[in-house]
Amino acid sequence: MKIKAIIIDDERKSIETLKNKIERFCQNIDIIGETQSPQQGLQLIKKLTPDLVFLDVAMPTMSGFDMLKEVSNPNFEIIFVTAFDNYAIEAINHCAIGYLVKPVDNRDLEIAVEKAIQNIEDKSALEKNKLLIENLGVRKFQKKKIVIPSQEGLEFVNIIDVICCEGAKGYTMIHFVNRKSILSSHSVGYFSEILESQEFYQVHKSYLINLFHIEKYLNEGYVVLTKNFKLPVSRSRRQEFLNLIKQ
Amino acid sequence: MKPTLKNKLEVVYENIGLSKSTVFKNKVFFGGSDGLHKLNNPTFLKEKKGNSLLTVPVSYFLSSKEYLFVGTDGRGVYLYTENGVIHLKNTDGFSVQKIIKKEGHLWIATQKGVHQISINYDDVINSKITNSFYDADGLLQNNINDIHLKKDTLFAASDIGLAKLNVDSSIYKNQPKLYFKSKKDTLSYKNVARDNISITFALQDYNNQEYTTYQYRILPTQRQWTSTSAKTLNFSNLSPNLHTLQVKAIDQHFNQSIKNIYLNVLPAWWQTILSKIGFGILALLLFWLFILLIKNRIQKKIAAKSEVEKKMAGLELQALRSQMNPHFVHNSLNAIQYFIQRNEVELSEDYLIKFSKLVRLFFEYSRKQTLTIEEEVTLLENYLQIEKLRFEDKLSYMINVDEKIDKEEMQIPSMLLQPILENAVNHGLFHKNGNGLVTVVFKFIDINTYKVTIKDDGIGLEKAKEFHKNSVKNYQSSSTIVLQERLSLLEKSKNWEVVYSIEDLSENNRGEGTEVNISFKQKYR
Repeated sequence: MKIKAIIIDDERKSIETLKNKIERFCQNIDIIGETQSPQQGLQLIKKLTPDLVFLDVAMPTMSGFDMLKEVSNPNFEIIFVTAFDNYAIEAINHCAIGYLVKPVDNRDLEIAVEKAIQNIEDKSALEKNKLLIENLGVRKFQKKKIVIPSQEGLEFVNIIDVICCEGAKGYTMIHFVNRKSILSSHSVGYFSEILESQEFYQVHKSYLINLFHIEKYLNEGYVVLTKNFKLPVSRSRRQEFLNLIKQ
Repeated sequence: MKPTLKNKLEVVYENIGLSKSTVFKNKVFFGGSDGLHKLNNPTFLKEKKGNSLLTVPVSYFLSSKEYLFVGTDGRGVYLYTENGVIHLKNTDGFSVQKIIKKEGHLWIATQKGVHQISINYDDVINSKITNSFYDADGLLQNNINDIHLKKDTLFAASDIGLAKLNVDSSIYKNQPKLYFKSKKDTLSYKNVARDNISITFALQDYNNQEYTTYQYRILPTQRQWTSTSAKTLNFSNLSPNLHTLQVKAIDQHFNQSIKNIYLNVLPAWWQTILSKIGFGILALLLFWLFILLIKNRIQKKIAAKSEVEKKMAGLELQALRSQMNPHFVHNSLNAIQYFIQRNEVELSEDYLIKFSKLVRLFFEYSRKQTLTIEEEVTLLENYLQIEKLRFEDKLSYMINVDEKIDKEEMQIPSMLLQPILENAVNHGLFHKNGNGLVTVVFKFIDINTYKVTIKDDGIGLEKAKEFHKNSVKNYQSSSTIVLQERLSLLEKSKNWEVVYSIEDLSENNRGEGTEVNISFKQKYR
């Protein structure tokens, strides 16, 4: 069975380009609808109940995010398409939703679509989309939630509860204040990317810490966190780290 | 006067006042009231040879082997030789009545006592008087007509009698008895007294007062003796120190004595070592402060300069960043990808070249402070062409430059219009339903002034703001920030007078859209 998909993008050329690529590289995707207007996009979603939506972020009168808020039951997988927008990408990343940057790379498209198909089978779209909408209404970084893909499925956690991420052989153990640690199949680099902000810092190639949970810094080059996590700060990052926490 | 008598006698030389004669080196000399005459057979000659001494009245001759000693009336003694005349300078002023030569000394009888002269054959002219005898020494009077020396006994004949005295007697060898009027041997002076130091000395024996001379010096500063005739010495400029004043008395027999008195000149408060050190430190301190002040000023200047430079550089970078806005770049590239995908080779090439040209202009112009209007228009046109690639029919534009403006000459501050235009396109037209138009008009005002109007028929300033407020994405466009900073920096610079205003046309019932007016006046210094 083919995946039903629609494209919402204000630029005619973008739609054309993307459609062309999908036809060439993603045989199991069936584009059942397309529109340049977000308002029409809402109607298309209601009418066609697609499995997958390619959604442009920056659109006139209503951004992709704004449009998503208007959907009553956003139970479809999304791949956001954006030219370049740090803010948007960060928000998307927190919720483990797929995205593509313009101009779209063919290989990236294949990977994103494969991932989306897998997610459709897992039926996790609604929760993730709801989290995105929820997070968009939250100003403070630490108050937001993130989605952590684990072996058991998706874990929804508060950023503020994360003490640190500990990398080991391509996997990452995430430690929390109030719950059991989670083992994720993603590397520390992945978390470093999605949590990248003024409030997390990778003190070591294997450790990403939440600055909110620093208890003290030891001169021999260790940082002590909540629940007595004592982690080394690598020599090359020590100065930068100290400057950061002194602010 | 011609002799009338003819006898054996012959008048060989006619001259008045010849009174003395002698023989020197087998020649006969006569002395007279008009000087020295020499008999040079067969005639007499008046000795002249250019020396004025030879015309002084001669009062005495003493002939020796080498010299003819000539005593004069008023100019002392001179020595005549065939080669010239040597004056004994120290005898000048004496009228010589008699000359005796004895054991290397000359003795002369004068109207002012009897004097002994020691002839120094190396320096005859400066031969010194080594002893003198006056009435105070036993002569009947100072005016002596004749003398005779027999061993140590001097016979001196004067108008009032003959005196006899022993020149070697011990009574002529006593030192003069010198004393200071002050009883203390150390005198202290301070404050005003230092400028008025007066020392008086005197000689005990009253008789010899007249024939005693005095010298003084102040040790350690002055080592040379200074002669003085006054017996009171005044000093006013002595430096703070313990000085030794030495006074020397020399009588007519050249006996001498020296007396010391100590003058302790105390320093004024500002001359004490402590205050000198204080002054030194103060001077150093002031100097240091001065240096510090100057250093500070220089540093401030440099800091201010580098601050402006930093700001300029920062702004340059920021402008470039806002122009090379990733959203704009990637959207443009995405649009070009469309043509590539559709195999529209010429169009894709065309747009690729336009895009690369624009990027080049961004880099080039962001470094400049000002552009010509022509350059600015080229940049804006290029930018709009690329934006049109994305917006297609939704965007139309028009750029109009007043004919009176010299496009190649007139300057415009860089990085100003493009951000305004970008706002017009991305905020005004982007959210508009339907097609939009942006116009850029350069209007001539006077030779240094022109006005630029950037107008769009988009959703207007207020609505655009509202969109941003309601949207989950809440960011201030970086082009707006660059524009504001650039304007405030231009305000500070003294080269431009820039007036900026922005208006939402719907608010004033002038239709839809936003209008930005910005006037430029270039100032020349």
